[in-house]
Amino acid sequence: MNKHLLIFNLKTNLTMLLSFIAITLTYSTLATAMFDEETSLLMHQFVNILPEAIVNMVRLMGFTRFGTELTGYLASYLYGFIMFIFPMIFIVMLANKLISKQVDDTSMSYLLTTPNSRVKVCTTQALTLFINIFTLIFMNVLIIIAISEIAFPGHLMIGRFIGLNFVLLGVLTVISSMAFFISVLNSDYGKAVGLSSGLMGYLFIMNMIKNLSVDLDFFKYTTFLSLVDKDRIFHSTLYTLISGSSTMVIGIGIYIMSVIIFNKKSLTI
Amino acid sequence: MIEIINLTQVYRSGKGVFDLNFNINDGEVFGYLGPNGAGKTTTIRNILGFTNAKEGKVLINGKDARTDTEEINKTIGYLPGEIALYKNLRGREFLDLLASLRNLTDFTYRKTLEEKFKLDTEVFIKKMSKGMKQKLAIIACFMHDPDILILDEPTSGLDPLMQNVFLDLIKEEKKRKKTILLSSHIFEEVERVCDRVGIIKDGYLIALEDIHTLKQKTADIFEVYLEAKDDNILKSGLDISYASDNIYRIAVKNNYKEFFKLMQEFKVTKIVSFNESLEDLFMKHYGDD
Repeated sequence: MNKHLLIFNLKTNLTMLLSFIAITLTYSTLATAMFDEETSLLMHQFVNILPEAIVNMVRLMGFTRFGTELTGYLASYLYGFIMFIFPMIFIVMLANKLISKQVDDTSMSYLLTTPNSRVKVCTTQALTLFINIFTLIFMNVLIIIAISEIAFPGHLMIGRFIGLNFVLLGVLTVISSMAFFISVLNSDYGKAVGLSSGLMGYLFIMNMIKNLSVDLDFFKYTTFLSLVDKDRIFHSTLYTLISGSSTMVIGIGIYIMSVIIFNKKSLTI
Repeated sequence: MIEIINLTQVYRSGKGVFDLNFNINDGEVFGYLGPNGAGKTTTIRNILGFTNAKEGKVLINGKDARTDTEEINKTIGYLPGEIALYKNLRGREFLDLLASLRNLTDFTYRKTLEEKFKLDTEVFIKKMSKGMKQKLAIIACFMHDPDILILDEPTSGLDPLMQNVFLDLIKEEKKRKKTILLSSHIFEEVERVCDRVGIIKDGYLIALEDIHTLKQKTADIFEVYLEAKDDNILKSGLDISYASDNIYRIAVKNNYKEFFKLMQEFKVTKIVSFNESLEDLFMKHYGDD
């Protein structure tokens, strides 16, 4: 890892990170501020009397569980759609900007002709991606907890909420490592963006299908996103720890593999 | 010293470089000449350890260019043929980044170069002209005062004045015993600064010559405009070819006396001179196959 390159990367990508934090925070803060226990209960009852087809439509968007308390409410509103889609778009943009774009336009040659090995350069790029995703999630967690404690003191089950975000971070680590892997493999920037967008689309759609009906529950095995299972996270600390840390380990493994490939790859820069 | 040993690199298209063998000695300015697509950049990619050669290897000061890059890069300055810079940065920020990646703290030479090339580094790279970007890349390549300089088509994008400034810089570096590889398809710039020249064509090294030997092989070309078409000029015994209408092309090599004598015999309205092109040189002296 090269600290100068890391600082440079973090600085130059700060605007993009802040934009995505702003987008997710807009949703998060509004959703938190809008929480009303009675309305949530009414909403829960309302959904129960809706026709099956409309309920399925709502589920498709990731709103699978209409919690009547704050933690469940936030989990339903934010962690089925918003906190998947925006971080995933962010990952596609950043992962490809860090490697394939610089290989494609040959600007990578400047980094690789400094006295830093390819392993160092690539590890720094991977770390940049992870730090950015961590910051995106961390800022959301921090602000949501702050707003909840101000507006609804004691309502948010902070431990469970952090557990939910721990699993989300693990899942996003795997997804980001896969996007990074694609970025390393493809020297063509356009192709890399296309492939990683396709991967994100696939994971997201499989998760939507899984949410449609109990009968389609087996689709959860086709996407990592299904690991962000609010019910299981809220009821089992063991599940939270295992799913969060195992995805983290898999993600780190794919990152390491990407660095090894980048080190061995023939680069036409 | 740079040693290129049995280097073969083949792309899917079938193009590449084939069994290259040559050395660039310490303190030598080596001109690497060849038309576009001949394999100059492919050779350079191997010198810099970017690509995996199919066969052979490159050694720089005895170290493997592909695996010992971290160590080798301490002594290398590289000027890419294709200038792709971080366009959202100012020139200064780009140079600062590279300086930090090289742990460079002495900016004296960088300042000298900025003044020499009259470059305002406060300008954003995306606002820079092609020539300004080229100057910035040159400063980035030279600012850490490396012992080995790898320069791929270094003067492209520079105006004639700046081309001279650049070639003077190469001469200065030559005096300071730097080892330089200068890739080019322009014979004149190689002729001005290089000690030795390697000529590559279709991926094969077709000649490795001392610059003086090569100079003797090249001719000056004169396009002579006559008042009217007169093919009698073709019978003069000089190397003359018909260009078009009333224009004739004459290759002169050490036989200026005969050339001027001939000019007196015909009604000449205009003479334009230029150096023999690299392509002509190849065709004449190194065959076309």
